[in-house]
Amino acid sequence: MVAIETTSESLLALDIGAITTRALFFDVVDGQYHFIAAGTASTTAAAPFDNVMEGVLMAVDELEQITGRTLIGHDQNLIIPTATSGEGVDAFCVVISAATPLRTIVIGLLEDVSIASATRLLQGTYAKVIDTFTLSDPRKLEERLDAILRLRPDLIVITGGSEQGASLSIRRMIHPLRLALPLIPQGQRPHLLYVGNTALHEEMQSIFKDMAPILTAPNVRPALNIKDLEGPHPALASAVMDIYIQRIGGVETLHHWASGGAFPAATTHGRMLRFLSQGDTTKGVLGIDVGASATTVSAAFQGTLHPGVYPSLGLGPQLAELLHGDPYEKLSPWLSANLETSYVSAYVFNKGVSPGTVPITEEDAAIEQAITTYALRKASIQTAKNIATSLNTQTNTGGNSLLLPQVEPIIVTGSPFTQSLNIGRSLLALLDGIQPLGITTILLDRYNLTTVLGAAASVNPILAIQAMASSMFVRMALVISPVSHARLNTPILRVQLTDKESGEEIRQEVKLGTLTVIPLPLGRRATLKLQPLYRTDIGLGPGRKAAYEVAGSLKGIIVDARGRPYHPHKDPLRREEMYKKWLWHLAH
Amino acid sequence: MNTLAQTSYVLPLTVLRRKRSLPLPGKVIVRQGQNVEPQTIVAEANIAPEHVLLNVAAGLGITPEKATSWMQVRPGERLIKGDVVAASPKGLFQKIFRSPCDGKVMLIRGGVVLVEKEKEPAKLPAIYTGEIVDILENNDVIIECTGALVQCAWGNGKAAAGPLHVMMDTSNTTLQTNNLDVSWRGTIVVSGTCTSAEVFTAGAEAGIRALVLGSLPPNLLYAAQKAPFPVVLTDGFGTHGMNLAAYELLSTSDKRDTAVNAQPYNFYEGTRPEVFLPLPTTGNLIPPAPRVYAPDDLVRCVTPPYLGKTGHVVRLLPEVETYPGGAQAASALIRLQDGEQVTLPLANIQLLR
Repeated sequence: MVAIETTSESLLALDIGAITTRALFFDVVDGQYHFIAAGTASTTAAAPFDNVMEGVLMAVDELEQITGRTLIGHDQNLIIPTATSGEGVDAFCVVISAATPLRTIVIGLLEDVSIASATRLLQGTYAKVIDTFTLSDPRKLEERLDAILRLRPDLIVITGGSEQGASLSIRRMIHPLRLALPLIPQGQRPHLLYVGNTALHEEMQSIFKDMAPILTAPNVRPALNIKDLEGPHPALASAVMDIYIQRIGGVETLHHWASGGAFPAATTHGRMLRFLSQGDTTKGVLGIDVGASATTVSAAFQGTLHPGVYPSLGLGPQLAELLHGDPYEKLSPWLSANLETSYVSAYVFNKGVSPGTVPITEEDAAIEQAITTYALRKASIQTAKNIATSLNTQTNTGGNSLLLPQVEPIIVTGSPFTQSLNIGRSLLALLDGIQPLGITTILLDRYNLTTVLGAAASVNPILAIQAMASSMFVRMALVISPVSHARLNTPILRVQLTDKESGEEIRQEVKLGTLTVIPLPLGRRATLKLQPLYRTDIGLGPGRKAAYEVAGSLKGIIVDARGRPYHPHKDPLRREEMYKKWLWHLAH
Repeated sequence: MNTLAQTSYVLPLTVLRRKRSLPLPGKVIVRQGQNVEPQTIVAEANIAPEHVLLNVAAGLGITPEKATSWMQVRPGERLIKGDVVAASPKGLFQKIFRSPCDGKVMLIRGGVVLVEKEKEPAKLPAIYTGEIVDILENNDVIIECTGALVQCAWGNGKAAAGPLHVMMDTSNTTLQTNNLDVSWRGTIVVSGTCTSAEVFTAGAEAGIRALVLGSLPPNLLYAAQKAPFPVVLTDGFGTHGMNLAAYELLSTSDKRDTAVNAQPYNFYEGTRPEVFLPLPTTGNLIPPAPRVYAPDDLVRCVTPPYLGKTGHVVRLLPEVETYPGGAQAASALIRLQDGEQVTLPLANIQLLR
């Protein structure tokens, strides 16, 4: 076992999102690292500030007021390390997601091989693939050159060739790029990332180093049947940070403060999920982050990350694009209230031009819930497909590639969940959007600590581990999702819950098609016995029963027996009635 | 939470600096200090470049090195179809490679010549009446202009200039198709809202230059996007009309020269669509907006149920407020124009300056 020496004590971490900037402070309390406090402010990446530092200073100022500790000096610089007077911090890190998705062109050989792998790699960050060049591309060389000039990508990922494989074809594929780069003014040229056959690393460097910033990384497709998304990711993250430094005012200063501890938020979120999945778990870990710049549904199984960062599903300025066409048609299956088409569409379009707004009324909260569910459902299906391709998880999901494999726990963050007290609504959006299988706990990460600690791990690994363990997540619910082939309204599961302290017992028979809530408040422990009927599967195999010791949560135990995959009722009035009932159950 | 004040400008007199940008590198054709009118072309560029790769070495059956030594053209040189690109030394069997098109030599490398085809460049009009105060890297110009400004919520991406024609008695007047006829050709029509997609067809047939509305029902979004003229909404989607500050300014500006820049709202760059009315006078640059809200600030609501209404901040609430929908947010007590007092999240209001 390798002993990790703690070199730092206090830590300031910044989380700069598209709408909100958070400053989080960690320190040692009773010999253990703990999250102490957070200050928040609006993000100021856009005009009139054009510099994230305004928001950073305001967030840190609020944090200073809460903690009574001075962190920023009179020269507006971070005091690091801690001064003898007690001012400042010992370590600093920053995560950023406050930018428009990187417009990316992928150059590779085969659509289903190297291009597919590079596209999966890009799903680990805030990137949007705007064009791909393959060997089968019918366009002439000049047309591909014109495409590069017209599209003006931020990033070009070059891939292709397994190890000891093709190199001649890659040289041919980069020809348009070699001709296009000199035609783009210096300073406006895209960053290049080469993730193909490693035998060409030096050659790529020598060809492009005088033309554009280039990074080389391990081959994303080292063999026909092997993908490596983790090897090239650090170089991708580095390229993304370089672009952020160039594009977002103030990021360079923070990068300098962080001396190596500045990352795209998606990178550190994935890093932490990977770490958590390495623990004593037979299932994977699922990380959900619904934000203005992207919706993330990433999973990790035994140390392997399956990233799913979808900027096109962000709930910020791209919302109108996400719901392009008829927003009502897309949202109506998930609407818990019967609202007029024009009201829903106007709400969505207005949200697109004022993305930071919050829902005031029940009706608006219902629309926001539907939007969140829609984005989560789309993201979950895409991640489920990716995982199914990678892991061949057909049996784990009952043969349905639209469902994610069983996970424990699901860690949730993002303003739709963290800025609302209506836990019932949040849970319904999560259940409808993710549609988890088996038995799982849903944890709420109010301060996006998963992402922040992923960055902290690079400057103080002990802090990340201890702070993660110090119960900083709120247990929202334990969810049991039985799958049954019985008829609707047939009893499929008997639940017996015995409170450890009082001995009080609750027995309930759950029918197919229902959503049942069994209260077990936070701080209480109980024995949970589950007896499936009619070969119902609670994630352990058809008909297999189970008994667990379980901890309490905000909403106790939810048995979601609505079926998998769950399809909402088509009749709007009936649907509204059902949602009303479920929301009532979840509220009481 | 320190919530910064989101500001929307409705100013009767200000000095603006506006960047007019080419999407791709091109040529700026105005000079610093030059006065420009809305229709003055400030820059031009080939925004859909087409290139032709001339493989001289292969065409002449020679090595790339030899082809390079035979080149008769240089990068940057203009070519006319039939011009000699490369030729062997004069002799009985002189080999010649001619250009297949009009264009410009962009690059010569390894026996190949890259030519950008000659095309009519896209022209970038000034839109704003003012003075060129800066030219940036051959792509962008900065125009300084004096006049009135109304920042808007939504625009369809187009731009135009012309005299303003006010077609509203109240901030919520509905523009009717029969209001639009050829007598309004070349004008920028202002109204509260419209309820029919035919308005856009009628507007195009009448030859109006642009349409400024307070709000638009969401089912007409795609009609507005497809309109051949600029369309801007001062207040967003719905049928609530125009906020009173914008209404008061625009409704008293009939026949004034106006520029409509319907650039789409860009969250990351902070640019918004806007209506600008130049004035032959002097003013001051827009003062920096306050960072946070304060009592007596004039604000407008940007979400239901008070969407489009204006009011004044009574006080900021010390604690976050919890709303019926469950959301928690830093909030303020607002006295609306009609006297009603409501509590609203700071994120749902904009400072009107």
